[in-house]
Amino acid sequence: MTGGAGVAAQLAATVARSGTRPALVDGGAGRRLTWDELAEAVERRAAALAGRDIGPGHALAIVLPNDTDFVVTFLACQRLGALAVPLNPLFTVAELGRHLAGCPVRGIVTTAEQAPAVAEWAAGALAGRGTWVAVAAGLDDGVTGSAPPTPGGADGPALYAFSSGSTGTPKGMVRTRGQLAAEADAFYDTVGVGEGDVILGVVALFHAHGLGNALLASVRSGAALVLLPAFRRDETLAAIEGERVTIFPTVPFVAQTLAETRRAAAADTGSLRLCFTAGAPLARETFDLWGQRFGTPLRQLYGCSEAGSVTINLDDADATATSVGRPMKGIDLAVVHEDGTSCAPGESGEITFASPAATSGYDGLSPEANAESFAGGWFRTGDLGHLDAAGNLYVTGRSKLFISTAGYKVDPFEVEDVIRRHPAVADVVVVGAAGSLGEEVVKAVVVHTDVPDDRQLRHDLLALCRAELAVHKVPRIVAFRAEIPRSPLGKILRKYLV
Amino acid sequence: MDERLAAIDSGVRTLLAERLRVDPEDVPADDDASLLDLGLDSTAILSLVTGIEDRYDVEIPDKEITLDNFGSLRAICRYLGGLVP
Repeated sequence: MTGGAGVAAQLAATVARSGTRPALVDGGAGRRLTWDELAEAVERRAAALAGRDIGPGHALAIVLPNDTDFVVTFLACQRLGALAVPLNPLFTVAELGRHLAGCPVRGIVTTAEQAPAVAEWAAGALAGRGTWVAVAAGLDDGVTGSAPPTPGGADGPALYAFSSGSTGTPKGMVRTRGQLAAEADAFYDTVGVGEGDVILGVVALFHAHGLGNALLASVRSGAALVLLPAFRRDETLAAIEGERVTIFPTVPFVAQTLAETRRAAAADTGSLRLCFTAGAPLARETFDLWGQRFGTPLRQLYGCSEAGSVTINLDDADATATSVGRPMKGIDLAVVHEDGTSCAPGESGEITFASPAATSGYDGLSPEANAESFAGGWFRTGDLGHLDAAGNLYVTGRSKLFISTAGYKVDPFEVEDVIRRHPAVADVVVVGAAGSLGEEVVKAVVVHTDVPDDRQLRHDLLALCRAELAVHKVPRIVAFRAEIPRSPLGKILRKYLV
Repeated sequence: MDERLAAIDSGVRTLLAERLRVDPEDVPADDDASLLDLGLDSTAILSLVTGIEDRYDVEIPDKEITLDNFGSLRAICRYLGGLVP
C-alpha cells in the first residue's frame, strides 16, 4: 500500500503494524476482514475508481449504509487523493440534488436498490456533466492493474462535508487530508484507543460522528470496527456481547432505547469501557438509566461537521454527567461574549474553538461571509454554553435554529421550504418541540388558506414532506394556527409555537 | 372490540400522546389508519415499542417490529392481544 498523507498514511501504518489482526466486522453481510484483507480491498477499489477517471481532487459521492463498501470506497478515495462526499442513503433524490448542487461529483456509488432511482435522477438533473452512477458491489468486477500513487501533501482535499444552513440549503465544506488525519490523531491521543479495542459502528458513517469516532478512530489505532447497517436493539446487544465491543459511540435516542430495554440486563456487556453520545444533548435521565443498566458511565462528546470531535468527557464522576467534557488534545476552546472577550467560569456565551482538524471555510461563500464563522483560525459554532472552574464544557443551547432529532440535525428552513410549496399553505414555521426523552421532535405550525378539512391537508403535507425529505425531517406534529405569532419587529416568536 | 382490546387501544393512544407527542385529536378514530400518516418513522415506532414493553410488562423481539404488527392501532391491538394476558 502506498502511504501518502492523511488517512491513507494512517491506514498504511496500521496495516504494517497489525496486518493479520481483525479490522472490520460487517454485521449486515456477516463478513470479516483483517487489516491486510481490508488493504487489499481498498487497493482493488482504488484501481476500479481510477479506471473510472477518479483521481486526485476529484469528487465521488458515497451514498451507502454502514457496510464494507462504505469503508472500502471511502478509504479508496483517501488512497487516490480524491474527495469523498458521503451522503445519507435515506436521502430522496431531491435532497441528493440540493446537496450536490454546489459540489460537482464525477461519480456516485450507491446500493443496488437505490441505483436505478439515482441513475434516473442523475440522467436528468446532472445531464451533460458526465456523472456516472455505479452499484458498489459490482465496482471491482474485472479490474486489473493498480492505482497510481497517493499524492503527497496534507493540503489536498479529502472530505466534502455538509452543515445545515440557515437558508434551507446545506452548506458544504472541504476538509483536507491533514485535517482528517489531525482529527484521528486527536481522538487517538485523547481517548487512548488501541488495537485491542473493538469499536461498534451503529451511528451512520456518512455523518461526522460515525466517520470520525468509529471509522477514522479504527484506522488510526488498529481497533476493530464492527458495523451494523441500522439500529436494532437485539442485534446491537448481540454485537456488543459477541464481538466484545469496548468502545460504543452512540446517540441519546439509541442509548435511551437500549437502557429502557429490560432484556438488555441479561446481555453480557462487561467488555464496554467507553460509551459516549453526540449529536444531541444527553438527558440526565438517560445518563442515570444507562448507568443502572450497564454499569459503565455514558459520556458525551461534542463535535460538528466543520471539525469533527472537539471535546469529550472522560470523567468517572457523576458530578459532570451533563458536561461534554474538555477539549481533545491539540484543540483550544473558549466561551466568548458577543464582543469576542472570554467569559468567566459559569458565565454563558458562544462556544468557539481552534482545531487543526477544522475546515478553513464553507465552500462557495465569500471571504467576508466566511469571516463571520471563521476568524483568526477560530470557528464560531453558534452553540451556547459555559465552562466550569475545572474547564469542563456544558452546552446549554444553540443560537442557530437546528432541531436535534434521533441523532440528526434538521434545518427547519429546509422543511419550511417544502411545506410552503403546497398551495393551501399561507404561512409555516418549523420548530423543535420537546419530546418525552429529552430529544426534540420536528413540529410544523401551519397557517392554511381556509381549507375545510384539516386532516386531509395534514395528510397531504406529510405526503409532500415524505416525497421530498429524508424520513427524520418529516414533521411528527402538524399544528394549524390562525396566524404565526410575531414580535412588533416581525421576528417569529418561536417559543409560543413549541 | 372486546373490553380487553379496547383497554389496549386506549393505552396505546395514551402512549402515542405522552411518549411521541402526537396530539390525541390527530390520532384517527379509525383503527386501520396508517400510523405512518401521523409522521411516525421507524425510530418513533421503536420508541413506542419500548413504551409498550414497559407499560404492559412484555418483551417484543425486534424482528417482530414490522408494519404488519405496528403499522396501525388495529395491528398493534391484535399483536398485543396475543401477548398481554
